[in-house]
Amino acid sequence: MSTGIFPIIVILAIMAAALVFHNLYINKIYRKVKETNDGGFTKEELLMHLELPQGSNFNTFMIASWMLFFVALAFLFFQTPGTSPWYYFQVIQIASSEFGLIVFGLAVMIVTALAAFSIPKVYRYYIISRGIKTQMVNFALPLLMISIAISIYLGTVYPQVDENSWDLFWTLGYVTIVAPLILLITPIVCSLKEVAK
Amino acid sequence: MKPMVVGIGGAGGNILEKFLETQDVQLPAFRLGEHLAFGNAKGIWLDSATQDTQDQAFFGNLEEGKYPAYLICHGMISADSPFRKWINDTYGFDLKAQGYDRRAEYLKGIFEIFEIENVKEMARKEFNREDNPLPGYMWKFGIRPFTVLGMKTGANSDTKANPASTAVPSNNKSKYAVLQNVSSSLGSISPHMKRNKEASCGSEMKNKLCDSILFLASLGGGTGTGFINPITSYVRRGDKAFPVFALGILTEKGEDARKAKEGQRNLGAAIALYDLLTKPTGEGLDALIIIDNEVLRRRYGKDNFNANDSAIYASLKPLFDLRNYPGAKLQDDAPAMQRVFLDADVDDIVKDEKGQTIILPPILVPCYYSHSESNGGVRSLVEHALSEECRLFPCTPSKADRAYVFTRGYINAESVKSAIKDLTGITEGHINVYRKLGNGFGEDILILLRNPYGNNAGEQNQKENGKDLTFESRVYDIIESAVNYIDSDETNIIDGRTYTDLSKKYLRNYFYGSGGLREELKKSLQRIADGKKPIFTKQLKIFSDARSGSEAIIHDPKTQESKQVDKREIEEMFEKKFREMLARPEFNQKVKEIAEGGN
Repeated sequence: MSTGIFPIIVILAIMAAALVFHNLYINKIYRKVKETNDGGFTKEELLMHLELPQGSNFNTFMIASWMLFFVALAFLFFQTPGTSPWYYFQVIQIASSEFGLIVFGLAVMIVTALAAFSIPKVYRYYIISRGIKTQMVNFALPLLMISIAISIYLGTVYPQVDENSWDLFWTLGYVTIVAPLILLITPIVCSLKEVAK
Repeated sequence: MKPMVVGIGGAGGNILEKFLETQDVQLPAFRLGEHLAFGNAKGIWLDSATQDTQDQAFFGNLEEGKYPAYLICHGMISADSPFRKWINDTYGFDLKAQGYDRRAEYLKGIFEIFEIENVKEMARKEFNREDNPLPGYMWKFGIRPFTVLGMKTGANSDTKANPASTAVPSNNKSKYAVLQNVSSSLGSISPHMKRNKEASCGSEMKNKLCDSILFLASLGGGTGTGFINPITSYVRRGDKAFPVFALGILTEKGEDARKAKEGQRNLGAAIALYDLLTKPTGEGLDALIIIDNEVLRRRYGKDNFNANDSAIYASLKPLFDLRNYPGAKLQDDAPAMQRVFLDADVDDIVKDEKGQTIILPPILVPCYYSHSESNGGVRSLVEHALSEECRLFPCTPSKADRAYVFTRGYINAESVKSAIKDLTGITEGHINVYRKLGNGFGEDILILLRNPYGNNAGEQNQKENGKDLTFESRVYDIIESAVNYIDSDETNIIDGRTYTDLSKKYLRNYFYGSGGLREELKKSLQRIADGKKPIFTKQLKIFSDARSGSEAIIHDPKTQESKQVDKREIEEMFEKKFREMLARPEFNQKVKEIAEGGN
């Protein structure tokens, strides 16, 4: 039932790649604008000029999605033993409490709040079509909720479950985290592709 | 540039829908959050036909706090309004007419009645000191709250500046409190802002508000054409410098979707063009952008209005795009654009009847092209945009005196200037390039050609298989058709209508009198044929006694009659009066004193 550290490395790698892509995108635009411009400007000015409102609904959904992403991640990796040396059942008072899962979820939200609120700010530098926005909103949140539900199931039945079905559910929980993550970084990847032409 | 887009009439509303299409995600069940349109544009649909507003779902009623919203222009006039009855009895104009059935002169008349002094007086009594309630209502409730002018008024808010205290009958005021709430929630005159006029939130609010107005209307329709001038005049009462532009779409040739006579539509278009282009700077528009539906019909097929509207919207996107080029010398803020558009040449300047120099608004013809970045370079982009297929109104680019260029993508301004100079001969000093950052899929360019006509005689005959090749050709045909309609359909224009005898006299004088529309349109045909600019030079009003001619109408609405007085009779009356004065001894004494050098 041990999943090892590889799956979390993949997720961190995707997030790191998104950060690199974002910087590449900004640098690429900076170079292109510089090549076609006589006037001097700084990268900060460029960022200011790149800003675009994305809509209050989209922003709200993105903040919610990133919050749930961190919760889903914590539930999958820190709820049961096997992946990390620290896990939910080590804190007996909370694990045996009626509201233990909620407290755990809220604690994750508080710890990751800064990241969850900051990451969506990056979207303002991208042109995101309504189609992509709709897909991000329609799929990211439900998939993350499925992942959380699966993690709760695994945490609840642990250790009374056979290895095969555990692996199946865990993999499903993992896929339903990675898929929304890819969806959430789609604007960065697509825009970099466009600007690199 | 962040214009408040005002769609007027059916066509204006349909195009506006494209402009206001949300860029945000929408919840399936209900609308939530602030509406976000491309370029963060705000807009409103003004219409006169309540039925039209009920046959669609995109716009809600502004009076009910909805956004995107429509506003019925006569919404503040109650059905049993004494003023409405008086106007109807005296002039035969219904202030609550449901649509204007493609009669530009009807709408022109409705608005111009309010220039008559005793009509103003009557209006003031019923509408809390507001002498021009229709445009007053549309401006104060429908448009101004979304502009930076609304913020100015909001900050100085008091009962005098409060829109709810003017233009609205006192029994309707609670309804208009809702309107103010709508505008407040959309970021304009919130009470919080009023308290913090100079506070930091002011600049944040200002960023949300519009810095100019762009009217969208079809030229030759019913409602659209008539609204622009009165609202603009109303805006100009308070702010002569606020940038106001209009996008006019000329209806297609032949029979249209509503089966209106071509002559009637062309008369509407001619009146609209005439009125929009003869109001000088500071009184009327700052520029008229013109598009020919005939061009779009050829491109997308007959009655494919959705494709037409999408094309119009797409072509103006570079203008609306918020992402200006950092470090660029030219930024497209509206006041700067206004100054640039009005940068007149010598031949733009005309003299009015009093001999004063006036500058008339320019005509701008849009040319739009987009391509993926891999296709060609800047030269190809410009070349395509200026090609006949991409011009949205027939014209000759080389005749334009200036070019205003809006690009999206990573484009060098000097390359654009050089390409336009090569292709049109316009000097680089007369080319302004406004660049926006990439649009995410490639590059696009909008070139607004300023006054691309004139200089050569006989250009009105440039046609090929019925297709107009020049600006002159298209406009000449419209004016000629309008003149023919005026000549052949007097009954339809004047006699067969519900106008009173008084209005009929005014209208007859406006259309057929000396110095009237027919005569002026004929002069404009000659100007086009001679290759002169501008096409129209003299303002014309229906309810104007100032026009030179053998007849003048004495306005006497109390008796609901008019008297036509011969010019010679007036001279005789004046002479008689003067002789009586001379006969008085005290008058003679005064003349003697003056002659002797006394006071």
